[in-house]
Amino acid sequence: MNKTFLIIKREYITHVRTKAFIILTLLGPILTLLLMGIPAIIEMVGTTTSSNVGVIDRTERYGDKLTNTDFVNFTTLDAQTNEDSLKQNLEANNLDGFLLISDTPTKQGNAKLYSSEALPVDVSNHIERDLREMVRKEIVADYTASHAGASEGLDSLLTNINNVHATVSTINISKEGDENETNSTVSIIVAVVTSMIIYIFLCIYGSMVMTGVIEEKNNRIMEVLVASVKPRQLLIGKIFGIVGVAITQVLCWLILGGIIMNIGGQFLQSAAVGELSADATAAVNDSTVSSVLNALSGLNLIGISAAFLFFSFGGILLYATLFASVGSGVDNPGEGQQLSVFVMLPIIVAIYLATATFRDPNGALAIWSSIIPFTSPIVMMARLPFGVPAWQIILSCILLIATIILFIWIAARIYRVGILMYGKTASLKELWRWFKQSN
Amino acid sequence: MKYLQAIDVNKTYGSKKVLNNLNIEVEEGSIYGLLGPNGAGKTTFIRIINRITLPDSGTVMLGGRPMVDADVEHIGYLPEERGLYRKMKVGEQALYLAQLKGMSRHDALVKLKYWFEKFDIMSWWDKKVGELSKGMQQKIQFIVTVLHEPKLLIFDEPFSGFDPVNANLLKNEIAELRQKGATIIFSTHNMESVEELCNDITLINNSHAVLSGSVADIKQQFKQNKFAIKYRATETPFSMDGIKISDVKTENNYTDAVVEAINETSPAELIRRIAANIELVQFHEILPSINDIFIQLVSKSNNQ
Repeated sequence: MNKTFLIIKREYITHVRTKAFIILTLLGPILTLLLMGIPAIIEMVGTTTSSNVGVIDRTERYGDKLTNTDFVNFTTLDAQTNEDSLKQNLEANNLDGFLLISDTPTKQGNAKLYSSEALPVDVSNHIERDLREMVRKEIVADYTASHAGASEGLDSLLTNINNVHATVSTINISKEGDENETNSTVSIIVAVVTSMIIYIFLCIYGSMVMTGVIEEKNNRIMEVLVASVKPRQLLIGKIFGIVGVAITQVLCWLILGGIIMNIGGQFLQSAAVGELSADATAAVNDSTVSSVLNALSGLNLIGISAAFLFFSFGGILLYATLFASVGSGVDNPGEGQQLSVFVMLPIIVAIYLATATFRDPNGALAIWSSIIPFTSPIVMMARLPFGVPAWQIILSCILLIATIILFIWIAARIYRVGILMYGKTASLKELWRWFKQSN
Repeated sequence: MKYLQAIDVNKTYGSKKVLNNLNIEVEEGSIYGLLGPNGAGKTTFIRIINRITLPDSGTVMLGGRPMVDADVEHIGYLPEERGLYRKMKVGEQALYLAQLKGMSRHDALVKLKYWFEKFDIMSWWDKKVGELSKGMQQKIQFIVTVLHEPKLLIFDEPFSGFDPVNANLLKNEIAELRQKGATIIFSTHNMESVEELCNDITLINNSHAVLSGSVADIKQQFKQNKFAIKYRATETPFSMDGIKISDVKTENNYTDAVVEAINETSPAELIRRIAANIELVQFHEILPSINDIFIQLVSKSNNQ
């Protein structure tokens, strides 16, 4: 055990000292900011399922004018329908959610979209577009009625129209009847950032382990090492050393991110106070900032952080193990790249599945790929911000842990043979033969 | 006392039998040669001693009891395929490898200081291994092998990778380590070094131990009753009944030749008979070199 610790320590120190690690640690937070731009692109992507949305319009001015599309169907309900009883009976009414318009939807909270499972972001976007158009038409109609063709006040009319933004708050109804105000855009940002970071982790740390194994083989230091320690200790030391590096990286990012947010926040605030009028500042605070903050606090941040830690380290453990056994089967990095395609494949599939997940977080594909261990670290992070039933998370965690243990065992058997084999690139068939070979 | 004993060791990889009922006994404090052509099974046997692989059947005893994993801390192993981490610093790396062999950090530092000063290489401590020449790396490799003062040292083809200067250094250090009580196993096909250093040898070919014993005994066993003679040159070529003469060469009034008695004749009788005919100035027995025996045995068994 003591020797395993020595190996972990060496592996850790060697990698933490590399330029690649230092650069990535510094660049990470900046890349993350860039990633924030991705949701804008994803929002343009269509959805696959069609949602049924009921409409309770207390104003009786908008509800029946909402347009149906291929991804959303509106059913106008009685204007006086009790929303609380409807919340309990969504399924009975064959609805995925309902829209409650209590007043002109230009103010935060006047239009709320309730659903038990998050609706695709296209739905709320579509509603916002429709409502905005309707409100604009109302303003023009008001103007025409009161001014009867006069041109005075046209300036204020144009300003009014340009400033119209219909806002729809999306609200998740959980089983317990709690309501969480979420904002699909914020959920998507969290989902994209967390799943992308895990994706990057798996690629970087996975190939790091593989390169390390190939280096030891290539150097011919391997035989010296296995004369002192068991190959299994070497493998475990290597993998956990890398996980330690990943933990360090995340901690650095959190600290750096915290500093950036702090400085950036102070800067924004002082700029706002200095340049904007008190009204404008208040308005900014009211609409954008507060809705983002509300949405963030609507998400289970602690749960998501815990899941992020679990799935990133679990994912690294699983893939580092796979990459290590691939590395043991080859002699030089070039061959390693070729053989590692087999291991990279599920990671790439997972990131595609994750993109599909943003459109439809509760589709069958999303659910299963977030439970199957090879894709779960990435896809589960992509689903979490939209709300995932507890049993699915628990099942996914248990399966991941079980798979890691199984694969460390399998990889150790391949590794112990592979590290002493030279001269040719192993085929998958050979890896299998090594696995079966006795000690 | 036998320090290392292999009893009926068998090992098979797939369908290939690599070691077939191998029995070896290494006397404590001796230098033992493990000979054989490439692919004979030497490296596999060494890996079994180092517990890198386990035998399918059979026992390896160390110091009179069956080996356990922890015994590798008393073994120093210089593999044929050897190397170091190129990007790691010399001192740090030596310290790491010593600790993997079970040394405490403190002990390792003390011993490293001793060896680095002995070889006068203290200035390399903070250099990366990749910056050193091949010969320098070999010195580090040697230090790492012997640092934990192993009771059993195993060198697999030690002279193949080393330059002549380091090979000589290695020879001297090995002799010194042996005097301090270490048991040493050589695996090699460099026969010259075997005759020079080894007390006992085992010849492995095609997974079998085809020959084992002390170097002197084996030479006696394989001698062919040939003798080298030197005599004052005569005008007519020298010949005798019952004696085969070959390799006759005359230079500066003296002739060198190899004689072989066709019948069973004692050396004394042979001398007497030859000296009766010519003016004999030299007579000595030709013993086969280990190299000759090796080639003879290996090619014979390969032709079968």
